[in-house]
Order: sequence, then C-alpha cells, then structure tokens
Amino acid sequence: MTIPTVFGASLIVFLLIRVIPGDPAVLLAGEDAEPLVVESLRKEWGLAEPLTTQYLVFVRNILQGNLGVSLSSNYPVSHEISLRLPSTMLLTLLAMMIATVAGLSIGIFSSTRPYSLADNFTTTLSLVGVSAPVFWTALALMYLFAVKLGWLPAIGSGSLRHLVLPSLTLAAFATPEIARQTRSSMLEVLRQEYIRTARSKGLREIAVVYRHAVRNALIPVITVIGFILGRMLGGSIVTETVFSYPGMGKLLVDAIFMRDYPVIQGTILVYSLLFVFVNVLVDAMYAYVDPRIQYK
Amino acid sequence: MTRRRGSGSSERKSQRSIVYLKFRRNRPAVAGCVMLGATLVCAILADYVAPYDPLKADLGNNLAPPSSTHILGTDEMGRDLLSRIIHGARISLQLGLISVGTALVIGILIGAPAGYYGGLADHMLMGIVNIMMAFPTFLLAIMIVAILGPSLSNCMVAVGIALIPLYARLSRAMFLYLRELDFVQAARMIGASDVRIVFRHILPNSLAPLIVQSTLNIATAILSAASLGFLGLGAEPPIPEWGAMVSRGRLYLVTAPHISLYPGLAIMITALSLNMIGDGLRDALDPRMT
Repeated sequence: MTIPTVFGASLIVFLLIRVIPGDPAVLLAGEDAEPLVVESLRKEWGLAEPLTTQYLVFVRNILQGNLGVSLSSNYPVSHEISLRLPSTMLLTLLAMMIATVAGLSIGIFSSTRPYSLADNFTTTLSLVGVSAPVFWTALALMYLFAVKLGWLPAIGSGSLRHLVLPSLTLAAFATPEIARQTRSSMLEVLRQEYIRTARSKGLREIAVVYRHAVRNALIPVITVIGFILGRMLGGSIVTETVFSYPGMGKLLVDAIFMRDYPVIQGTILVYSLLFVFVNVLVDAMYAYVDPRIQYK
Repeated sequence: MTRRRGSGSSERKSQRSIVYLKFRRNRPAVAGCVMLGATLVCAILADYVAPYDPLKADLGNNLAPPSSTHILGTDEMGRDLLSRIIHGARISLQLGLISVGTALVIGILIGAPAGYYGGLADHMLMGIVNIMMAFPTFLLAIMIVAILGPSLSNCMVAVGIALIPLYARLSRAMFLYLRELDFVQAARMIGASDVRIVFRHILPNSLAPLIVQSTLNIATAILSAASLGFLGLGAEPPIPEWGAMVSRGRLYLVTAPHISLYPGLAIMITALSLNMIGDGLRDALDPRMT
C-alpha cells in the first residue's frame, strides 16, 4: 500500500511542471535564464527524452537527493528544504501533542457526563472550533497575546516563545475534531454490554472508563488523528504564513508567488512523503492499541 | 426509501417524515438552517441588502471603526465592510456549492463503477484515487492552484478536485455494500438491467450518506477556499472574498482589527451553520438514534 502511494505521489509531482503550458526546461530554469542554463537543465532532467525516460531520470535524481536549484535563492532545493523541514515538523508535532492531550481529555470528560451542561458547552465549543478558519484563529491569538497583552512575539522564529502562538493556533485547529471523535466513540463504547458487566461487578467508575472504555474507544480516534495530521499539514502552511514562521509551508507559498517551480515541486514531494509516512505510523499505532490487528 | 405511507393510517410514518421530525427536534440543526437561510438571503439579494457599493472606495474615510453610518466600519480603502461581507456571502456560497457539486458528481462517476463492477475497474479507478490520497486535501488544492495560477475560478476547481477522493471512496463503499443486499439481488433475479438497478435501487439508497457528507463538505470547501484566498491564491482584488479580506486586514491589526475580525466571523458563522445542519441530518438519518 505504501509503495504504490509513494510511486503515485512522485508521478503526480513529476507531472506537475509538465502539465503547465510552456517548456518544462524554461519553467525549471526561470523565465529570463540564459539559453545555456536552459539547455544544461534540459540535459540534466532528460527533458528531450520520451516521458518514461524523463520519469526514470526524475526518480534517479530524487533518490540522489537532487531536487533541482531554487530560482529565487540559487541554493539547491534539498538544502532549502533541509533548513525548513525541522521547523515544520517541530511545529506540527508540538501542536499535535497539545491537540491530542486536550482533545482526548475534553472528549472523555464530556462523554462521561453526556447531555449535561458541561457536555453541551464543550460540544458547542468544539463545533465552533471546527468551523473557525485557521488563519482567523491565528490572527485572533496574535491580536490578543501579541498586540493587546504584549506577552509573546507576533511573528518570526528563533526562540521557544516564537513557537507558542503558531503551535496553539494549529492545536486549536485540531483539538475540536479529536474531542468530537473521542466523545462519540466513547459514547458508543459506554453503551456496550461489557461496560455494564464491568460496572455490575463493582468496579469503580474511573477503572471502568479508563481501563475498559478508553482503550476500545481509541481505535476510531486514531483513524481521525491520522486524517487530522493530514489537515494539520495543510493548516501549518497557513499558520506559517501568518506568523512568518520559516517552515516548509512558507517556503511553498513564497515559491508559488515567485513561480519557483523547482521549490514548488520539491516541497510538495516532501509534504506527500511526510503524509504517507504519518499514515504508516498511524497503522502501526493501531496494532499497538488493538492487539486483534496483526500485520503479516 | 420508496415505501409508501399506509393509506389512512397515522401509525405508520414514512421514512421521510420520521427523518424530518427528528431533524426538527434537533435545535442546533434548526438554528443552523436559520443562519444559513439568512446567509443565502444576503447572497441572493446582496445588491438590495447591502447599504453601500462594496467596491466604492472613500480614501478620506478609511479604517473607520464601526459607527452608525458604517455599522462594521470601513476597510483600508474606505469601503463599507458590511457591504463587502454581504457581497462576500455570494462568493463563498458559490465557491462551496460549485466545488462540492463538481466533486460529488465526479466522485460518484469514479466510485460507483468501482464499487458496482469491482475487479479490474475497481483496481484502476481506486488506484487513481489512492494516488490523490497521497496528498493532504489542502495541499492538493494548493498544488492545483500552483499549476493553474491564482484566481477565483481556479480556486473553485482546485477545492473541487481536492474533494473528489472523499466522494469516490464513499460512493464506492455504498455501492459495494448495497450491491450484495437482498433487494438488489432480487431486482437482478427478475432481470432488471444494470442501469435500472443502479439508478432505481442503489443510487437512491446511497443518497443519505452522500447528502450528509456534502453538507459537511461545503463547510470544509468554504474554509479551504477562504484559506486559499487568505494566502493570496484565490480571488484577485477588489473582489470581496472573505479570506482575502481577512488577509488585507492583517496589516492593520493594531489600528483597525475590525477589518480582519468581521469577515472571519462571517466565514465561521457560515461554516458553523453548515456543520450544525450536517450533524443534524446525520443524526436524523441514523436509524439507531431516536
């Protein structure tokens, strides 16, 4: 499953500059490049060859870590990405951790007292959270904590303090969905017979919830977390742009404006590899949480 | 779905009226309908509802805070913010409806034969879909905009294409499941053609989950399109697109935060109303929920 997907992703990225009207060699070299540069790129990427050969050359170059040269900075794209990738991963992982802890807690909390005032409040808040555009949350947090209170820097990077607002924004984007899924799958599990058995044999409610219910309720939540990580990668592109946070998302958006196709191509490829890798991790997590699942 | 109401008996309610009653009892869902209705009215009657011309600049009166003449204040070019938001409703709803509609039709065209025929057709069609699934939805949309170039219509196309895999998978699953059910087998046994089975028996029964999904997806589509607009990859100025409006206000966050605040609220309220309706529909259509 993973290998065909990676193959497919590379194929789409390969086709990216070939479906844009115009000469791919010129797109890769830039509009006003010297003819000599264009020709050397044409040779390097085999652009005069048939498409199948072009694809093989493309894959070979990628495997050698050659993603081309950025038009705007003249650095190799792989170098640009290696500078930005850790920032994006740090931001996304931190936000994911906050969101998972917060989402699970809120979801378990409200599922154990369904239709109470507290449950109605958190459920409504989650729905509002799911509906809030991520850039707006970002600006609201920026306005509150940077402009009004002056506690945190509004933009930039370099210190832990710079990481607070972007990661909170991204966490606020993911928490409601995790909370919603946790709540509904907990409610489902708490209706089951074996929960009634656990209660009737006199287990304390805490043990019933945490030892018996949560573990089974987690399985659908993990599916959602995998799905949400994909959305967070998208959300991180917007978040990085708002906070001028030097991650891959900002790199990609800037590259689109400058028509820097080598960078666009490279970042999209790395994003999709990251996404596929995350899904593999999520599958592994299933096996850990649900011992019934065995991988051959 | 096609069961008729027993004539004269009030005991047996049709499926449809049960769903309707359950939906009516769901307060958030009804509230969502009211909110969405108001947004729709704004979108359709924008020219009459809006107090000012959304494109008319008044540089002498820019960045004005909310007041009695300009209820939500003016933007950086002195344009009335409320009028721009009202006109923006038209753009956002169009974006949401057209992109989701396109994705729905193409998704069913891919998913239905894959689920109904299985085998090679399934492998080929879902192979394409799985490749698209290698990209997070929003990244796929960004990539398409990068290819087509930023504009309002390209943004619509991008968000629409990015949603296709979802519908293809959902309709494939529905067709795969319904194909094996007794009533479909019975139809096949009495010699119904594939066309009849698909359009008369399977499609009507897969509509419910598709409708629920679509309502929620319109919210997602509006949010994605607004994000593209915010990044500058959507509508070109001076089109009053909500995401782009929030983005313009970014520069005036210190002096005039209302420029970003209100268009953002408009996006949120629209998405919220669609999510409330979608949740309500899902619960109403779920036979396990009473």
